[in-house]
Amino acid sequence: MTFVQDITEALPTEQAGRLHEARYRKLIEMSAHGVWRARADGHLTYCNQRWLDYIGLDMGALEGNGVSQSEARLRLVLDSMAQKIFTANAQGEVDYFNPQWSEFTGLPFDIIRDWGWTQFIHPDDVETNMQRWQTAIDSGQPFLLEQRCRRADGAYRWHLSRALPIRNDGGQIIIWVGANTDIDDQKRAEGLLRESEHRVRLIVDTSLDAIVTMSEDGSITGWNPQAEATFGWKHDEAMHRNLDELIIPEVHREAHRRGLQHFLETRIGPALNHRLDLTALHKKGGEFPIELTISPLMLGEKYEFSACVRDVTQRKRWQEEIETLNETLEQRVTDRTTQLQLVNRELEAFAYSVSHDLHAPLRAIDGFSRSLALDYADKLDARGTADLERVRNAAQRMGQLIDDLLALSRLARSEMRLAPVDLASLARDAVAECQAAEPSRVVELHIAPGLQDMADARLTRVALENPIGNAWKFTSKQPDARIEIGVEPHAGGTAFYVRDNGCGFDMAYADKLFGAFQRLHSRAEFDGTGIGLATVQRIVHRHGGHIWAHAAVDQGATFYFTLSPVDEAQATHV
Amino acid sequence: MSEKIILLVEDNPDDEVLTLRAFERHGLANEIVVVRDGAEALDYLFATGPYAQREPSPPTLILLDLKLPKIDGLQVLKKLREDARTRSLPVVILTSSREEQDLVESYWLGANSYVRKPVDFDHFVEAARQLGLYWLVLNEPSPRSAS
Repeated sequence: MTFVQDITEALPTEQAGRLHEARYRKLIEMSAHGVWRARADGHLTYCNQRWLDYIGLDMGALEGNGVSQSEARLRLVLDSMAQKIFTANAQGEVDYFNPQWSEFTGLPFDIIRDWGWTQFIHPDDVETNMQRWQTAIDSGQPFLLEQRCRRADGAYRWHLSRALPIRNDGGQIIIWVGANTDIDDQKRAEGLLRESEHRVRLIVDTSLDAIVTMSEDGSITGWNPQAEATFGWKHDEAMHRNLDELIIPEVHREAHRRGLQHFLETRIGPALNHRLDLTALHKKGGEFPIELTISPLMLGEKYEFSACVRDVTQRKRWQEEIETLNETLEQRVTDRTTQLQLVNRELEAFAYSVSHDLHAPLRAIDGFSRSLALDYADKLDARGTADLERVRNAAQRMGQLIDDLLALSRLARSEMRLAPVDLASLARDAVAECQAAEPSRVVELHIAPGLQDMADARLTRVALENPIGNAWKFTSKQPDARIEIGVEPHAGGTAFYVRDNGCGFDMAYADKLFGAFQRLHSRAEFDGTGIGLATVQRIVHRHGGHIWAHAAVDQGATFYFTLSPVDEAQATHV
Repeated sequence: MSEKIILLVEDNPDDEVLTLRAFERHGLANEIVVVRDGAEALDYLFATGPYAQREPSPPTLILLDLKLPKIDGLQVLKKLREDARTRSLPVVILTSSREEQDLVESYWLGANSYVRKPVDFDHFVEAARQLGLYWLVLNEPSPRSAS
């Protein structure tokens, strides 16, 4: 039975008919609800049988035999309370649990009375409970304990148990009255709150940024360990101090105060929730650059401000270093470019003067030798004529050297225009020129199809003419001369080659191949200035490519070159 | 138009002699006037300075070196082409320079021909022969420049 209803108001008045009253009383007697009537002073004037059954008394007891009216009144009050109430005698034996107990535990009063209640206490709490209870009984001091009580569904819920002794006029304890309050939800919330607080505390304490909080009046309310490291002030030194005096440089203080005041008055804070670049004060007095974010937090009625502060001294230093490096780098590039341009201009002037001035004396040497030979032929013997011929040959050869050198230097200065180039057609032209100069020679020629690359056509022509001219020249003593121009894979790209079956050369001298004026054959054997391959190498390098050769004496030579950069790691050649 | 004059603008005495000899071998030497720098060339052509008394008859052909004292060959060429009196005179650049830039500029300024002096004297003689043959014999000069 869980329902107690005060129907005082609902009862018929004295003016109601007797018949009505009899019928009504019968109804109440039979009601499944406990019904009682009491006076304003709490004196019970009526209750039905259901009520008597429930509170465990009979009408006689209620009316005076053993149980006082006051006790009955007390129980009436206790029964109707929302809390779980119990009473115990002076010996500590529980003689009353209000209905809320049975409702909660699902156990009837008979089972939990006296010491039966221990069964719904959590096993871990029983001993403490018993001890405290005993201590309270023995000492007459109030009982107080947080403990877990088992609900009907088996779940334990935290309760706060309190019991007070009630004494008679002689000071003897006549009854203990206890109340248990379910504090489980509260405790759980507290636990969660504690956990959450702990988590936040850990985050704040381990943060690599200084985290400082400040109240509306500008005093410091939070100072994490990194703040100690950043500003030099210990937690206890910093707490409750004025933030602006402690860490804000004097020049920024007024702005800080005005900003704070403005925000408190208008709720407008342009500096809030943005990353700011400012400076801060260290305990030792130094000012250092910081990166700062301030956020307002509404705590109850008041604001708090949390600031995340990062010391960016090191970063600024790096940044400045990088900027300085960049500036000097640019300056250096400009300087070098200027120097290069100067050198280039000098080189151009030099080449011009070589072209113009060195030819003139050569012309004079050759011209006057020729003049001498023609005009004074009758006065010269055979040796004199031969000597003059040598002078002329030397002059002409020097002219050729100058021309080749100029061509070489011009290659370095000329502009590159990259476009698809048909190397096969250039190769055919080069061979045709050789053939035109020596129509009687028979040379077997193989040119592979599809010799294409992105290159400067003019330079590529020179790069092909030289090795082809060499191949033509060095096969001149070969009865079945053969020249092959082709392409093969090389280091992820392609290498072009010019191969001949001529006299070849000793690979021991391969390192001299591409130097200007370096020759592997005497002029008596083969003519040449020794500049051709140096020129080819320069052309190849200007394309980002490589040139190399394989040869053996009397077994021909192969010159390879690439016209685009290849993976150095994959490239293996002499 | 009784005499066909070649004006040789050449500062190098060796080249001057060689050029004269080359033309001499083809019987053209008596018709060559030599000036030794750009300024003198302009004085001669416009009958100014030392040539103020000269009767202004234009040469049939000008052989112009590029690298000259005072006023260089390209400047001389430019002045000739700017003046109506000399605009249509045949000018052959006779030089040691093989610089592409010189070639381009010479033609741009209105040179009629560009001949590189060969080192080999025999080639030079041959070049002189062909130049003389073409410009003094085969080529019909512009009526205005022949006036």
